[in-house]
Amino acid sequence: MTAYIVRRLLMNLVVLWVVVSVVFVTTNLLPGDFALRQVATNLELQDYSQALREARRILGLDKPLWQRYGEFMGGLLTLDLGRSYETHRSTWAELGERLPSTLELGAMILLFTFLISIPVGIISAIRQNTWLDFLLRGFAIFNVATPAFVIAVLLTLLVLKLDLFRIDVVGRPHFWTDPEAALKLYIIPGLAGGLTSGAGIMRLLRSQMLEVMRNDYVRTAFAKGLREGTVWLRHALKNAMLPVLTVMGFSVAGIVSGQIILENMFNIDGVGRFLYTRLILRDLPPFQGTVVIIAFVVVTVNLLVDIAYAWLDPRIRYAE
Amino acid sequence: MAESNYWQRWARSRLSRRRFLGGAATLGAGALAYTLVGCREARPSATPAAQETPAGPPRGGIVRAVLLGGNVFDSVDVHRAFGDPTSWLSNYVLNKIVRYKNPDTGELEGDLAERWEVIDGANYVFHIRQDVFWQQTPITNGRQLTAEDIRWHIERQKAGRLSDGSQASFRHQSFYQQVARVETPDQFTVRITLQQPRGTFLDRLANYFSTVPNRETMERFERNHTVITEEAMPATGAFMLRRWRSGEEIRAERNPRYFRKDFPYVDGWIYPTGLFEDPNAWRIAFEQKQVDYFYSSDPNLPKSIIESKPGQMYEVLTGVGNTVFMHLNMNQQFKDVRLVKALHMAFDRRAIIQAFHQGLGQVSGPVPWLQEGFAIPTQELSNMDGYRTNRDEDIRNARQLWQAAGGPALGEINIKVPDTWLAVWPDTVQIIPNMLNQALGVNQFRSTRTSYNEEIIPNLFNGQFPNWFGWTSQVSGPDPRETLFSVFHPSGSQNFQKVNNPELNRLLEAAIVETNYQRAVDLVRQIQRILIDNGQYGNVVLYNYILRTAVWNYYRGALKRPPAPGQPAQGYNIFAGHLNADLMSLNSNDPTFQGRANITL
Repeated sequence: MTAYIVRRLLMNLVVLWVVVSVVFVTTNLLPGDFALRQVATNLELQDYSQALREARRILGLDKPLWQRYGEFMGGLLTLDLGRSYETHRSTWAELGERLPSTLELGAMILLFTFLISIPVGIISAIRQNTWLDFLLRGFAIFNVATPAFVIAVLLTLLVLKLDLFRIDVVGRPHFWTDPEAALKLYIIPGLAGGLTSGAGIMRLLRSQMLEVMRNDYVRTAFAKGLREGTVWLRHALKNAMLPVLTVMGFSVAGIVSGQIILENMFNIDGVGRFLYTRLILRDLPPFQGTVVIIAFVVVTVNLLVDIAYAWLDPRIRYAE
Repeated sequence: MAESNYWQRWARSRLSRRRFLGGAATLGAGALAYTLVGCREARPSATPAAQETPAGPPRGGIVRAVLLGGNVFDSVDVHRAFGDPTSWLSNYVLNKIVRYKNPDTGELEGDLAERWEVIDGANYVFHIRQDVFWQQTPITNGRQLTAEDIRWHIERQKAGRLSDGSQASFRHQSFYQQVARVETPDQFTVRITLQQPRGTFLDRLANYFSTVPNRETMERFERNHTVITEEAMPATGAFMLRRWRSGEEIRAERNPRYFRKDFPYVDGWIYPTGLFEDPNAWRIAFEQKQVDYFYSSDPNLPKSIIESKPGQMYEVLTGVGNTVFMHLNMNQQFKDVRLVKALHMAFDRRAIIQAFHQGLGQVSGPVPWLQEGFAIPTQELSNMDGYRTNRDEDIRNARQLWQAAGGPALGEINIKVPDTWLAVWPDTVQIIPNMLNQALGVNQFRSTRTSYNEEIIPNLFNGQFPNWFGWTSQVSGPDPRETLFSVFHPSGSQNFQKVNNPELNRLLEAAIVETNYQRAVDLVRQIQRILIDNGQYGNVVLYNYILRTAVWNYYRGALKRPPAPGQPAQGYNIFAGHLNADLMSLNSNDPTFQGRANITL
């Protein structure tokens, strides 16, 4: 097991290097740069060219790509993720400010994902081929087929039309500063995100439950006279949850990367919105630094999920 | 936010027995209501922010609005900022020597100068106000502004040097290099002598990028001028910056030492820069009165919001400075002027305004209609080549010219479209070539994508630029003469088509030195007629579109024409930040003010 983990850790380092290099090169190949965003285009054009040269010199964008790559990788070795061209602040500082909002939204999405997918998946399985099953499957298919932002737009229009509550998109409240305003801000994107991601998990859980329910040990549990609820929840659900856990693991990793569309729609100043605005502005150091962090979280969570597999199911053993 | 947070408010509230019983009763009723209408909240009542005065607009309150458009600030130094946002912001904080009384016509009034004399086109005398003081900061000590500040403002930009003598890039250095000398015969008089007469000199001094910053502060921040901070822009104008950070919101409060004693009307403003990457967020903020107005690239969106709240909002229509052009390269495919004239006439401007902007736009002559003092009047324009409302004559003439000049022999012609435009109107690559093919009865036009910054700009100076359709940020002031001279005179810095028409040259040279407004207007209109006769030499101005803004009734900004029953308000087409700073107001007595977010600095 230890050798397996070490091997995976080394492989993760290679994966991280590849991801970082690909992101660095591709973002630098995008048309335009931050200097173009700074310099107005309605100048007399002789000045414009001069201004662009000057802006690129100040930002270091006049250096060749290989040199910038070397500086970027060198920075990573000392955990320096670079500084924003726009704010001159370090990527760590920028991310530190935005992570709480992303975690709040992510927690809300996860909460709704659990609340919707687990009960709906279980009920749909144990009431297979009844009208309730058809209804819940239809609900799941609708949510799988409908992007989260469409659900969010519909819910927003409903709130605005009926004047239900104030969504504070300007004040950016947190649960620890103003829980009521934060709840009102996060409830729609949380529900929209939860419905979309929960629908897939619900369908997965249903199929897993149906498979598990046909196993001998479940029949044995019933034959022993255990209560129905006990069999479903303690015997069937635990085994059906294994693949669900894998998917959930990636959902947790997805929280850190932020919900780019939902954060933008509700002006939530989180990591997703940060990534989007940095890319639009071609403010590349914080964008690249953030991608490094996300890649690190994803590969780490992936590794932890694999380890959790072995812990949950003693039959699983990784080759030495 | 200066507001106390939830927990502080909670801690302050005392739970009395009466309140407990009341709360219990409310909880029961609320539970019932919740099941019927969801979690509708009780809105706070109107804050006593703005109060009506016996005469004039109400005073007080904090405006929260998107005031400046784009927001990547590249410098705190208005002389050295190569982007517009710093200059735009400075119009709320600083002053110019003179300013536009009406930005669309170019009518001037004094700003830092209480009056001025035009001796001739090369000699100007400005009498500086004696009641202008810098905002009190440790750097300025709140000292008085004098003629020396104006001299430094001009000489620094002319020399292009920092206080230690080192050379640096100054955005408007080429403009100030026409100044021969600046003299200050006394503490409040400035005499400016130009190398040669320039009739546009006063107009440039009034433009949004001509604000006068504080010398000591600029010199203190010279070495780190790209770090954005409110400390670097002490005010003389309507507002003092309280917070200015790149990518965050900007906050400003009324300047008590502002020399226009009756202004501004509001106590401050918050500009949520970096907000609203998505119109959904802005729409929520606007409909719930967290911000005071709303616009969108989709003009139907503000319209639908206004219609959903009848009587509570008004509509403001504002011309957009992004003039839409078709540029045809006369150095390459279109060497025969008849070819560009044919395309100038074949382009159906009104159809494109309908297709892309739902009719919210107006055709522009060589001088866009936004520059209303100098543009050819609409009535006259609609009888000229390429602008006729009856398209038959234009199309007939266009086809004749195209055939006579050997247009069909040119083979395939690509009118490229930049990505910035396509991001908003992706169908353009089909619509434009189809329209030209149909109008000329040929099948030789097509469109592909290009990048404005990658392919067009780098190739302008070498004459290898592609033919292209799209907007050009063109209209930054009301006077078009500098632009016309630059684009069409052989000595102009932007004469990429190598235009050299002796009659046109004579008129351009006369117009650029003319100090009499009416004579300048007459000359510019003659210039435009020659340009239209020659297909605008490939720089085919097409139209300018209009932005629709939805505004809550309680808010007023600087408007050219206020709203009237059944009629939208009209905003200034040319940047009017300096007027907006003075004139924006909030009326807390208006019924729509109810439920507005309680906004504090």
